[in-house]
Amino acid sequence: MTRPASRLVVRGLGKRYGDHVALEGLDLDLPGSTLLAVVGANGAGKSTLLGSLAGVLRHEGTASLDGRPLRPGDGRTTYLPQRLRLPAAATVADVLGLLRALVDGTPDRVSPPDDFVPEGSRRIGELSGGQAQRVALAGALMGAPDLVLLDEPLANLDDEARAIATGLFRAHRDAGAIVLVASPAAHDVLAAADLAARIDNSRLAALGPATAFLASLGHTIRSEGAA
Amino acid sequence: MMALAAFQARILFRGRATIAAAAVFAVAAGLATLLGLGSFRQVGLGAVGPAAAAIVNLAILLPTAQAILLGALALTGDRENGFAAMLRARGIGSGGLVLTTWWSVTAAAWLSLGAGFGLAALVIAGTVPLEDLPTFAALFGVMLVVAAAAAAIGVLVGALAATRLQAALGAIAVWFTLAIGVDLVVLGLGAFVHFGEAAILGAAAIDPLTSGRLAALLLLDAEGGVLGPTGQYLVSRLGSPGAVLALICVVAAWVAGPIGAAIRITDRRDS
Repeated sequence: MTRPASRLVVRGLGKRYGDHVALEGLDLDLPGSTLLAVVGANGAGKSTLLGSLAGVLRHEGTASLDGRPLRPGDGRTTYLPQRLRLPAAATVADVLGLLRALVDGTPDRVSPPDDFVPEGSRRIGELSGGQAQRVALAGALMGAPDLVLLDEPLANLDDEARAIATGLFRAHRDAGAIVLVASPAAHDVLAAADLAARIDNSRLAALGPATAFLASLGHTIRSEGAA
Repeated sequence: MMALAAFQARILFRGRATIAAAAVFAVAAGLATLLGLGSFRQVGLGAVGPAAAAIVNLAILLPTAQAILLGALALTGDRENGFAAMLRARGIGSGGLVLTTWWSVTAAAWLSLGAGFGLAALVIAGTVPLEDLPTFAALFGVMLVVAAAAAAIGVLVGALAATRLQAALGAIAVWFTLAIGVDLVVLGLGAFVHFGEAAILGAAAIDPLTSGRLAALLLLDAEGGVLGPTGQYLVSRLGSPGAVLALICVVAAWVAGPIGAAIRITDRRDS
């Protein structure tokens, strides 16, 4: 059986903030239809990786999708930043209407259940953190992006919303997209992911099946508990 | 980009700060007009009476402060909140981000000007002769351009600032310099007069708020009798209509320049 050609190819991705190296020489090859959990400690470089791929951080190195360089706004990428705070004075309908307009009429590949987001007339400033995160997530997953970059998308979500959200990630993956989900608390994401990449000290330390990562994580927790 | 412009404008118009700023300017302009009705009866808008000067100065000071502050905070806020990054990944470039922010902030400042000039027009209706109406409209037009320039400067401050606190402090400092500092120090002392024509023209062009104020006063007093050395020099060289046109061009350049710089800076920094 031949291995499917890599769709996402990253070479030498690096980012510095002055003297601080946030990401160094990262190479990555991912086949199509992949859900990748990006895990690692706080400050390891997960958000920098996603921001660089989204094109919102200036960086060294190259990244291409299906042989074409990734460029912000080429219609192939969507990005949910970490700790996103939507404008408080906007309503849910304002935000979703704007993001709908930005996908330029592309029909949604998958849609969350109707009650996933609060009523359209409610202002973002009135919502809880979890409700606002639902709106952001629903907006980020609109259209049919080929590369879905989600930085801590499950933050603040309750159990039901987390289950729906991971279902949406899988649905995008099943439809052919590459989905990268960064999370420091990896259990939820690893359970849904195909692959996992561990970033340690600004470098890609390991890349492999998510199940193996999940098993090692469980072992670590048990060992710490025993100690 | 139209969708983003409409979104930004909706948010600003819904915000308490925009409504409060419009109300404050309307009340201030209305009061100044009411208190100066006597001078309007005497000289109308054909000369610089105390009431007309008060309205010009209020329009130069309040909506511009609103525009500079809002412009700086809007752009920095979107960047700090991650919203700018989300939009950029979805295809909004630096130009779109800067232009839509500028436009919505300008619209908010224009709302204030509309409220203030509208109330002033209601108060002086029947007092000022009908032939002064074009002057009143021209004054309003000049102030719209000045507010647009202030919004552009605010957006540039926002592009340069790293945090909202920096943006707010920078905006206040810039507004103070343009609204008061340049007028008092550079023009008021007239030190540049000794350095020749280039320095005089430079002094007129260095500050869009001062240029707008000079243009407004020239509209009220074509002879330029109430102007300082800069205004008098411009009138002597260009004539009154030419001087007004030149000053409006200066203000318009202060719209284009900061927007261009803000786009360039935003393009070169992380979102």
